[in-house]
Amino acid sequence: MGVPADSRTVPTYCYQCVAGPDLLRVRVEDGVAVSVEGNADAAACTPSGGKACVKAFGLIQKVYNPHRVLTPMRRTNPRKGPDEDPGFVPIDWDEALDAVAERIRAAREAGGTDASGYPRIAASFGGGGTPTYYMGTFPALLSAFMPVDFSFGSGQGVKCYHSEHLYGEFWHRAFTVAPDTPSCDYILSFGFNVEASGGVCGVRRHAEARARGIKRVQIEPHLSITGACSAEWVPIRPKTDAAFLFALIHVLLHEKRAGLDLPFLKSRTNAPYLVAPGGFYLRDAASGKPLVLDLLSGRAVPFDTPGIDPALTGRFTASGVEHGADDDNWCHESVPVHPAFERLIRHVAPYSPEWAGGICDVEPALIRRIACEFLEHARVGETVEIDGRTMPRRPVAVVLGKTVNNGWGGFDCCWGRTVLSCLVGALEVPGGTLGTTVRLNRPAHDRNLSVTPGPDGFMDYPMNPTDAGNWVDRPAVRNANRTLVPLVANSPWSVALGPTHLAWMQQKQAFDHWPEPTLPDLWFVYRTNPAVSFWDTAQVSQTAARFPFTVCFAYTRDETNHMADILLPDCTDLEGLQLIRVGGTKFVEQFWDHQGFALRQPAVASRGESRDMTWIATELARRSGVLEAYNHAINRGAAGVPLKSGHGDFSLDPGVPHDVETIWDAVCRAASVEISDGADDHGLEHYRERGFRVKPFPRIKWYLTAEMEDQGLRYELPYQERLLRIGVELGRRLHAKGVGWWDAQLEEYEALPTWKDFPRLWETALANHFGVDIADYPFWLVTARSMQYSWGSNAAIQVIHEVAGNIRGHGGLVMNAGRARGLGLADGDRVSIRSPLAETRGIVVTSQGIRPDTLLLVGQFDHWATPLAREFDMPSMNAHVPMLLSLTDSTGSGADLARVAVSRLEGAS
Amino acid sequence: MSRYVMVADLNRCVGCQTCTAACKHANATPPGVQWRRVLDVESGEYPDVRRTFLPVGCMHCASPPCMDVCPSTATRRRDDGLVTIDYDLCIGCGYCMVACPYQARFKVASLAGAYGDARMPHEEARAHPERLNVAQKCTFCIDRIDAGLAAGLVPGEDAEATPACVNACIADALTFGDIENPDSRVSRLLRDNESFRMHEELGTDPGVYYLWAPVS
Amino acid sequence: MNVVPKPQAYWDTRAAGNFALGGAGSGLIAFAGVAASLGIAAHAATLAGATLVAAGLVLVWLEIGRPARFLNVFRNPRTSWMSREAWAAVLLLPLAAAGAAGSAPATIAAALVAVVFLYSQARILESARGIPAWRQAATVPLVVVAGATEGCALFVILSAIGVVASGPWPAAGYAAVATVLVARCVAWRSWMVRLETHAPGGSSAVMKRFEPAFLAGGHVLPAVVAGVAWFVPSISDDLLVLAGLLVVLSGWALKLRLVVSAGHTQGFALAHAPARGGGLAGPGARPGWNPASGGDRPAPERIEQPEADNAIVRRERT
Repeated sequence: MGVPADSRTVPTYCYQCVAGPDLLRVRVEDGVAVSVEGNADAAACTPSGGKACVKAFGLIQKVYNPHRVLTPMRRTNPRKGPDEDPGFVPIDWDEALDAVAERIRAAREAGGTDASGYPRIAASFGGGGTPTYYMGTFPALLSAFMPVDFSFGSGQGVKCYHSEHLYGEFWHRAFTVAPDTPSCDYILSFGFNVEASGGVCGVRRHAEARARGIKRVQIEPHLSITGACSAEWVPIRPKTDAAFLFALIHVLLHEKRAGLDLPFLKSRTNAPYLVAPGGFYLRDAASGKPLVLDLLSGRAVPFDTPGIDPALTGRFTASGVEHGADDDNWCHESVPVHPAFERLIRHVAPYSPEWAGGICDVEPALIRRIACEFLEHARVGETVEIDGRTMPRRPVAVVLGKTVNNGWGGFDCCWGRTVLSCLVGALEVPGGTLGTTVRLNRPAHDRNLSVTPGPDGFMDYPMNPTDAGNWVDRPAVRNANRTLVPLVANSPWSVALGPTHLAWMQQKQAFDHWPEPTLPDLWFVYRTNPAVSFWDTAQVSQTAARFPFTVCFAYTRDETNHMADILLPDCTDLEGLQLIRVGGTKFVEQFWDHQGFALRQPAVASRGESRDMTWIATELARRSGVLEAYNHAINRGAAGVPLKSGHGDFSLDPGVPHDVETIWDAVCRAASVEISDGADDHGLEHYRERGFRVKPFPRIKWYLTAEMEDQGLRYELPYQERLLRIGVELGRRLHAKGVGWWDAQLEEYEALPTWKDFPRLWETALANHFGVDIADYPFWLVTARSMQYSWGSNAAIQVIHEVAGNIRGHGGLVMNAGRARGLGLADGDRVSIRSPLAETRGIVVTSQGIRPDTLLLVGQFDHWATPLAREFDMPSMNAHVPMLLSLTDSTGSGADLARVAVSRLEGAS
Repeated sequence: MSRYVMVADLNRCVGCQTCTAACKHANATPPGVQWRRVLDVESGEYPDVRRTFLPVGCMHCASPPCMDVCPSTATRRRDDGLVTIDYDLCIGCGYCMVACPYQARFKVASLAGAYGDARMPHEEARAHPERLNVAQKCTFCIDRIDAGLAAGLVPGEDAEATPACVNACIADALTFGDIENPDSRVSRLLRDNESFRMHEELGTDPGVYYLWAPVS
Repeated sequence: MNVVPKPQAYWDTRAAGNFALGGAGSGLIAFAGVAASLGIAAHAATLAGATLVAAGLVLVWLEIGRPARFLNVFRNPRTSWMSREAWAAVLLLPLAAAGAAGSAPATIAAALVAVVFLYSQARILESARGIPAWRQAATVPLVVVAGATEGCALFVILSAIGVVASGPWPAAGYAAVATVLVARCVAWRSWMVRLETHAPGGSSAVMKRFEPAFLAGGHVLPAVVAGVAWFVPSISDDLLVLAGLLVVLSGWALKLRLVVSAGHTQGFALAHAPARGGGLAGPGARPGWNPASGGDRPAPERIEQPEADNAIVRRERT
């Protein structure tokens, strides 16, 4: 190794996972990227302390990986399928782009939608929105030829925090939920795997919290990375978390009520709202406002009457009106009514720790102790000063992980979590349970700004209509998101947050009284691999093989682009150019004290014929005749910043194509005037040198409290009157259409969730659908994220595989050591894993840290086409999870859960 | 006299392997060679189980068994505690590897890259033929320490003079410094916390300390 | 699991070959020296012993990563038993050559150096602190006695086939074989006892599986064969060759097992599981070691007492 003649570091960012971005530097010696390090310049202004995540250390190999697709490719074998050799041949960019542009033109000329009303063009991107941080101006291109169907999920809905996304945004602008870790003292974590999925920022915040003595209790069937880092591990039976949460609420309400944050419940929630006999609020006949019982006057008065002391408990007699679904209205004279809080108390009366103990396979005393610890740590009544404002301080939080907060039970757990926080006033306050960001509400960059007054003293919510006149009766996209899921709203993210597996399922079997499930004429796939990352991967692969024309942006060959017609090699992370917004509050635990912009820039020249996504988007726009609309979209802000503002106009000439640097220079200038309030308009060169630019973000914006207090708004908790009404209305609309296959989902629209036996629900659904005896499949199969791989699309990167190998579970099927011994299995044995749906094979990894009735497969592997990854011999749970309506909740999500049997493969050892 | 040591706070470590990967970058080690890595150790029996992440590598022992057995004197110990290998003296006998109770030493017989014999440009640029067929291990990033000291920096305090794994640790679990200096970060951590060293009973006097609880 | 002790992968059959050939060769030279001191010409034995020692060193030379730098092996006789072995070899081979050429004093001197060489080999293993099965003090007598046993057996074979004179006292040969076999048996058992409590479970498991064949095929059977030879002089030479071969080959099998299969690494140990945040510290772990085994000290569980850990409670913030 000689001394390099030229050595420099290039600032850029890594946003491979939702817990990004990490600002980092790439060392480049004589034109070759050789190593990655954190960006020390960013240490003071990023919650990551300027450090880079392990995944970022795979980016150098990502650039130079010899398995990269480095020229555009065309399929020569018209037959598609896993067993068909695609016969890809290299072509030049002109041929590739023209072939794609021709399809775009044809789709647009055919009117954009097909006979079923579905978009002729579809696009699928990887999870969590991270691909948008790499796709340059591609969103501008998509917006230029809308409609585009984002229905075909690559994991969204089945492998995300789906119920949390929807209910979280509804209740407290929480697309995801996080503890206020830096000031929290006690966290109940139901399978929340922050040490594996929280990125640098999450890991760092929790490490600091542990160092000062935070107590985190991890409630999860296996001892995950996060469980390992927790003060206590409670091995709960899979999918019974709701019972545990209900029991905690029971203890607080029935044994510790006096210690609760009653002022918070009275003023910031619907706890005092009187509930009429029909289950809807008792309202003031004149104003229509919900009534509360004023203890001072002894009368029922509108909730916002000044100077009252509303009752939380008791049974009262009052008069008023009750508004049900549609035009159902009742006038009540002196009827018995209860405050919602009283209803809650009665509702959870049966859910004692003794009741939950049997369901969860957890000692009742332990549940009771945890409830008491939670309350003790909540310090009800304490305050703290934030940015000069006195706020409640409640250093307790509850967080939920994947499989807990999606699918059946997701609603119940999200409700339980949020209600627990409300009971001690720990919602959206320092130390408590916080929302992170919004994706369904607008604007996306500051959730505080999305807080506006809505009905009945609550925040407004962009619910999809369910009334007869406005219900979206004909789905505009294949997963029917707005039609079936009122909560999914109508933002650019709403399609991806619909019931994405419905789009795949329908391709196998159409739903009654529903539009014909057509395939899109043209399907774009970018930075995702649904043939591996979705459920029932065999079915997804078969369906993908039927798509008539698939264009995959290809890094290496993989399981999805195996079915593609055209492969387009785009720049990797260290080769492309893009400016993004950073800071404020974002996913997972990204709570910054700054906000601004960061640049991703080429550390090295792009390899082979790979091209920047912005170049590709511009060329496709030009060749498909949408250049003007594309440029207009960029000018409007599709590249992250509107190019025209009060501080300056950097708009691009819409009539001509612009090169990559011109576009991003304009975006940088617009960003500069925005962040400097017009003081300067530094362009691309400024960002190239520094890599980022930020200004302070007030910490008070981490919490909704100030906004809620200032606007006098309440959280729509614990009582779900609005959901109850919506459920009835949606049911009427669907039934009028003859649709009965969504009835089970309609039952989830409850004012207060009742416990359903969720494990049994799974067992029954599987037994009924497959006609099997579930006893033949004695194990629950669960999954967990891997810090080294999650969201990274980096299974082809050797160094990631190498370092991940140090962590137990990357080698195979994790099984309780005692149970394995009982089955005559030992570490390293090769076994068959059978579910009612599929059979896979893998190596046994024994562990004490997992329930005897549970098995674990980390991550999502099972690759058969991706170079390197196909040699891992690592099974995935995805092959085993069927897409079933009976396992789909009302938000349209499912949970990562399967039932399997395990047997030793003969002849193997 | 200085003795440079590393302190790993087991309360903080999450096993993310960022240090492992950062070490591979900083030292351009070949595939499969991890001078620094983090182990995943289980203790206890279900349901009373612990899972601990344990950063390991060369312990830079004060009494290094590898040095005593080395027939070529390639392995030496500096006055500041760093155990070094002279790649030009080492005959690659592997004796140090069986003498080291920490499995910290590696020997590779090929310059092949991560994806096979055809090395990638960055592997080509940073190939280390001098390490072929000889013993190699964690150096505590000796080049950084020496360059930092020459520039008047303090190892463990200034990032430029501190091992790459310590700089990269996202949980601030790793700390480096001079244990002979009572004011160093490592000295302070060792005063404030209970600690142990691995296989201390073997008489190696290892230079990596593991914190496991605050001093009560 | 990468934390559990596994057979070391640094020294392979070539290294084991040096311990086998070098041990047997130096043992043979030692017996040639005894013979020479008794006035029995054993030139061929000396030559054969030197050849074996040299062959063993060639195997090692083939194993080292940088064979061209082999001269550096001599640089550290101050502390390294490998350097000392090399220096012993440098003395041994010329002396043995002189002995083979007919010099009885050279043979006797070679025998003395051979003992040093053999002892060095034993200390090489014993100094490998990373391999619990090797680093036991009991390894030294085991390896030395094994070398002597093999050397003795080789001497008997060479006598039986007439390459060296059997000397005036055939009974002495039988007595010598019996002595070394008993000695090897004793050394083996005492080493095994130590192994069970001071090495990872994997090491003793390998050797326990090996023990029946080793004791039966390497001790009982050759003893029986030699006994028959004693009583049936007509075929005694053939039987002695057979018995000798059994002794030698079983010794070599021992070296192979010891170096390649039972040389488990130390593995990793955690004295305490840390207190995580506001939680309690917990007992440690030493994966791959029998909890009851001592290693070279009591197991962490025993000296550290989990109860004591519990006393160190991280105070919850109040």
